[in-house]
Amino acid sequence: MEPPTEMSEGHLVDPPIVDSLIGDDSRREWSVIFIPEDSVSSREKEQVVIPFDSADGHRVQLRMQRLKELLDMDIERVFHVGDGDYSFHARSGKVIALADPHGRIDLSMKAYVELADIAMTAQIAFLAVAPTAH
Amino acid sequence: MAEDEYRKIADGQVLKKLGSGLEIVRRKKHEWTPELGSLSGEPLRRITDKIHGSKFLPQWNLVFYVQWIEEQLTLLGWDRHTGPGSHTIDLADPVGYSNGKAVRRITIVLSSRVVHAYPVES
Repeated sequence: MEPPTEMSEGHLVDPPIVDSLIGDDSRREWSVIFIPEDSVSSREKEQVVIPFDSADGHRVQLRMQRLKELLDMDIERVFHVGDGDYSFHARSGKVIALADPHGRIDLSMKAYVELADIAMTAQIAFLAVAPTAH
Repeated sequence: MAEDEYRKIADGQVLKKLGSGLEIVRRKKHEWTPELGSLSGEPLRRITDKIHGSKFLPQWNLVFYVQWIEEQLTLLGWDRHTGPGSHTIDLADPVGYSNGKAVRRITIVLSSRVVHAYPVES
C-alpha cells in the first residue's frame, strides 16, 4: 500500500498518531500509546487505557473491526514505524506494513482514516483523565 | 541472541520474552541508521522529531537495548501483573537524539505487557 500524500512540514501524517495499540483480552481494555498534538502535550508519547465496555472502547472496536476487514487479518497489535508507516500484527504472526509499495492507495487511505480516529479518541480520553497535561 | 539475529526480527515483533511475562519489542523508528551520522541542524531535528521518533545512538544496538531494558525492569519490579505505565531514567552519557538535541534521558513504557524504550529530552 502507498502512504498518503504529504501533510504539513513534509510529514505524511500529523498528530495525534497511534504509536501502539494493543487489545488486551484478559484485562478487557485497549492499551494505547499515542503521539499527542503539541497543544495537548509536549511529550513525544502519551498513554491511555480504554475499557472495552465504554463508549470510547466501542468506538475503537468499530475502527479495529474495519481495519481487520480492510487488511483481511485478525489484528492483535498495531505499531507506528515512523512518519506515515504502520505495521499490523496478527495473532498468527503475520505482519503487514501499511507503507509496503504493493497495494492499493484507496485501501491505504481508508486504513489511515481508521487509525486517525483511534488516535483522536485516545487523545480525548487522555485529556479527560489528565486535564492538566496541556 | 546475537545482534544479527535480533536484526532479523520485524518492527513491532518480540525481541525477548522475559520470565516475568513481559515482552521487549523492536521499535525501528527509535533505532540509529547510518544516514543519521551525516545530518545536523534542521534535517536532524526533523528526523528525530516525535513523528519520526527520537533515535538511540549507534552503541545502543539491539543486544545492549534488550539487556539494559531487562535490567531496568528487574529493578522496577515490573511483571505481567503490572498495569500500563512509564518510567524515566537519566544517564550520565548521551543516549540519543530527540528533536535534534543530544539527550541523556530514556523513557521505558509498559503497555499491556509489551515494553519498549526511547530517548527523550530532559
